[in-house]
Amino acid sequence: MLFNSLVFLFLFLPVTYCVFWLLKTTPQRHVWLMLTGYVFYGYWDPRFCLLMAFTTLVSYFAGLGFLKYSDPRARKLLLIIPITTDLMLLGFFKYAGFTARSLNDAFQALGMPWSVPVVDVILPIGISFYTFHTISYIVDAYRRDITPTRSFFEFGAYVSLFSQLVAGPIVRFRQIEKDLENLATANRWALLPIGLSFFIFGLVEKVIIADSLAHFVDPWLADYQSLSTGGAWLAMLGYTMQLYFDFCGYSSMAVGLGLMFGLRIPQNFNSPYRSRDPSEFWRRWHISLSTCMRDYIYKPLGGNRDGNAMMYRNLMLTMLIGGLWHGASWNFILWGAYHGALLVAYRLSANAWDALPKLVAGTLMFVLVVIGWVLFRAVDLDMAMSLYSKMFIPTAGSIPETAGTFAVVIAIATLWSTAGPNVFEFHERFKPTAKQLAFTAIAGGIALALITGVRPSPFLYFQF
Amino acid sequence: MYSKLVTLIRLGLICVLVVAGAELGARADDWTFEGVPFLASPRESDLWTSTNGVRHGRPNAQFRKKTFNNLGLEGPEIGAHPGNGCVRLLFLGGSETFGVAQIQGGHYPEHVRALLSDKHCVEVLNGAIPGMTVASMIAFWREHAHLAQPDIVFIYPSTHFYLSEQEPRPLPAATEAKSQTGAADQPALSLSDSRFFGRLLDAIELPQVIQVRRQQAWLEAQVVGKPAGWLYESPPHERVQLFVAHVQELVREIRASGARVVLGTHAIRVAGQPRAEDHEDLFAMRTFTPRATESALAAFPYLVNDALREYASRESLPLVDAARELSSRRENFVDLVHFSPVGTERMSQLVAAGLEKQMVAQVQTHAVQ
Repeated sequence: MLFNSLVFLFLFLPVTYCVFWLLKTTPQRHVWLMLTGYVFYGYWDPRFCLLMAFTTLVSYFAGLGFLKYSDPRARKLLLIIPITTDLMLLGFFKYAGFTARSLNDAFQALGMPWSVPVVDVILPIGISFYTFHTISYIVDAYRRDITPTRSFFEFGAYVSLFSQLVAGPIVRFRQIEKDLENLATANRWALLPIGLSFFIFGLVEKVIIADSLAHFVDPWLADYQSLSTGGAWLAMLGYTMQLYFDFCGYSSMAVGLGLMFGLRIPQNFNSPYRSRDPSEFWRRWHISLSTCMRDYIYKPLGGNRDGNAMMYRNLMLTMLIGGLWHGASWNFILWGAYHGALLVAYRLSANAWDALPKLVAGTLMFVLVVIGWVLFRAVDLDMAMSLYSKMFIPTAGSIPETAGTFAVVIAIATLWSTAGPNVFEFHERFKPTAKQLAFTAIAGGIALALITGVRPSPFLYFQF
Repeated sequence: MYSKLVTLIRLGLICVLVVAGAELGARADDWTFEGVPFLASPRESDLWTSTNGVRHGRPNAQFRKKTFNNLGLEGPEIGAHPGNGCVRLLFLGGSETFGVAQIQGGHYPEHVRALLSDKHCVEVLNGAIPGMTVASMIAFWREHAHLAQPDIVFIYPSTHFYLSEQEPRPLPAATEAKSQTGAADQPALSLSDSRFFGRLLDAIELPQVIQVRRQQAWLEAQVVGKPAGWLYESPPHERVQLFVAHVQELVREIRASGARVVLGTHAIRVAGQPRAEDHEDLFAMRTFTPRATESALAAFPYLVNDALREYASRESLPLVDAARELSSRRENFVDLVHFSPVGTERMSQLVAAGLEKQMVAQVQTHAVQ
C-alpha cells in the first residue's frame, strides 16, 4: 500500500497508531511495529515477507554471534556469511536476469555460440533498502560501532519498520537505537503535531507537485520521438522536479511517520538543487544512501588515503556501484559513471570551479544534474541517446498544447526546490500554532482531494 | 470538562478546514487539468437531455473530460455538411464506445480518428451513450442522430442488454435510460455537488469479499417468485433473433438516409465456454442481467456475432469482426466488455482498417458530386 492511498491513511495508519500508543512497554511496541511492518509489506505480496524474515533472522543471529565471539576469525566469518547471503539474494532477485541478458548480448556480439538461460524473477519491492539496513547492521556490529541487540523483536522492528521499508531513507541501527530502546517513554503529544506536519508536508510534495508534474512528463516522454529540442528540455526539467518532489516527499512522510511513533529518522534531502558542485550535490541528495556508500564502499576501498589516482578510482567504483544499486540496467550504470566522472572532474578542477560566481556554479550544476537524469528516466539506451540528441542538436518537432501549463508548474517547482524551505528548514522552529495548524489542515485537505482523484502515480523510487 | 470541549471544538474546526481544503483542491485540480469552471458543480446528468422522449447529448455540454459539440455529440463543431472532401463518420454504441472515465488510454473512436486523419480529411462524431441498446439506437437515430448527416455510420452494438428482464424495444431512449440507470431527478443542491465527496465516493470500494456476498444475496433474491424457465440457463434464441432484427431495422433506417453502414461484432473478455478466470467478470455482469446465468452470458454474444456475420454476408454489409480478433484475450479488456489501453489500440486498428474502403469510396462519391 502507498502512503498516499486511502487504505493506508484511513485504515492502516490509524489502527497502527492507536494500538501502538495503547501498548505500554517497549517490548510490546517492538512486537507491534514488527507485525505491522510485515502487514504493510505483505500487502504488496505476502511471499516477499518470507524473504525479509529470512534476511532478518540471518542478520539477527549474526549480531548475537558478535556479542558472543571476540575471536577475529569468528567475527570475520560472522561478517562475511550474512553479507554474502544478503548480496546473493539481492543478486539473484535483482541482477540475475540483467547479467544473463548482458552476457548473451556480449556472446552474440563476439560471435560466440554460447548462451546463458535468462531467469526473470519478480523483484521484491524494497529489497535494495532493507538489504542495506541489514548489511549496515552487520558491518557496524563487526566494527564495534554498535552493540547488537539481543531482542529479536527490536531488531525485527528496525528492519521491517513500515515508514522506511520500501523506499528509504536508509536508516542505520545506530541512528535510531536509542529511540527504539526508549519507546515506552516517548512523548506522544509532543511528537504527534510535528510528525503530522512532516507527513502532510511530504504528502503535498508528492501529491500536489510530483503527481501534477507526472501528468505532463509521462505522456510527453511516452512520445519522446516527436519532441523538439525545447520539448525535450522541458520534459527533462519536469522530470527533474518530479523525481525530487516524489522522492523527497516520500522521505518527508517517512520522517513524519517515524516521529509519530517516537523514532527520529534522519534527513534524506537537503535542497539538492541548490548545490554548486558535484560533491555538494551528493551531500544533499539521498543523503542516507550517499553516506552509506561513503562508509561501506568508498572508505573501505581506501577513500582518499592513498593518493589522488586511488581516490579517483575509488570515487568511480563507488558511484558505479551506486548506479547499479538503483537498477539492473546499463542506463543506471552509466548514470553512476556519469556522476563518478563529475566528482572526479570536480576534484581535478576544484579551485576553478569554486571560484565561479555562485549563480553560475549553481546553474551549471543544475544543468549537469538534469543531463544525468536522462539516463535515469530513459527506459533504454536508445531512448537516452535519442533524448540527448534532441537536447543538444536543434531538432524541430511538436510541442504539446499543454506546454504553457507545464512550464508554469515547472517554474513553481523549481522556485520551491531552490529558493523555498525544505521540510527540515520549515520545521526548524516548529510550534503548533493555530495558523500553522490551519495551514497544515488545508494543505492536507488539498492533498486528500488529489489522492481521491483519477490520476494515481506510484512512488518512483519503489522500482529500486 | 471545559478543556475537553475546547479540544472537541478545535478538532471540529480542523475537520472543517480539511474538508474545505479538499473541496478547494478538487476544484482547482478539475479547473487546471480538465477545464471545469471553478465554481461549477457539474453532474453527469448535465451531459444529457431529451427530445420527444429520446435521450441524447446536450449541445455544448461538458462533464469532466467529456465535451459535446453543437449537436450534443462528442466531436468537432459541425455544420450542415462536412468540409470539402471531408468525410463525416458517426459512431454508435454503448459505454464501450462512449468511453469510461476511470480507464486510462482513451477510447477507440479517438484513436480511429487519429489513424484515419493521416490519410483522409475526416470528422469523427461519437454518438455513443452508456447503456444504449440497438433498440434505443433506432429511436436515437430517428429523433436525433440523423441530424448530423453522417456519411458513414459505424455500429458497435452491446449484446448483453438483450438478456435483461424485459425485451429491449425501440422506445424513447429516455424511458430505457431511466429504467437502466435508475436516475431520479437531482435535487437543486446535494452532497453530489461537492467535487471532493464525488471523488471520495468514487474512490471508496467495499472489500471484494463483501461485494461478492452482497451481490450473491441480491441475485438469489431476484430469482425468488419467478416462474420456472425464467432464468436463462442457455442463450435464448428469441433474444438473438430480436437483436438481429433490431440491427436490420437500424441499418435500413441509416441506409435510407444515404449514409453507409459498417457493422462491428461485439468483443468480450470471456470465452464462449467460460474458463475459471472468466467467473469474476461474468458474476459482476449479472448485476445488470440477473436473468442470465454465467454460461448463458458467456455464450450469448458468440451466438449473436455468428448471426451478425451471416446477416452481413447476406446483405454485403461491411463488417469489422472485432469479436474474432479480440474476444477471450484477457489483455484486451479491463472488465467483461470495456477495452484496456492494449485493447483500445487493437480495436482502433481494426476499425480504421475496416472503415478505410468506405472512406475511399465516400471520398470518390463526394468528388463526383
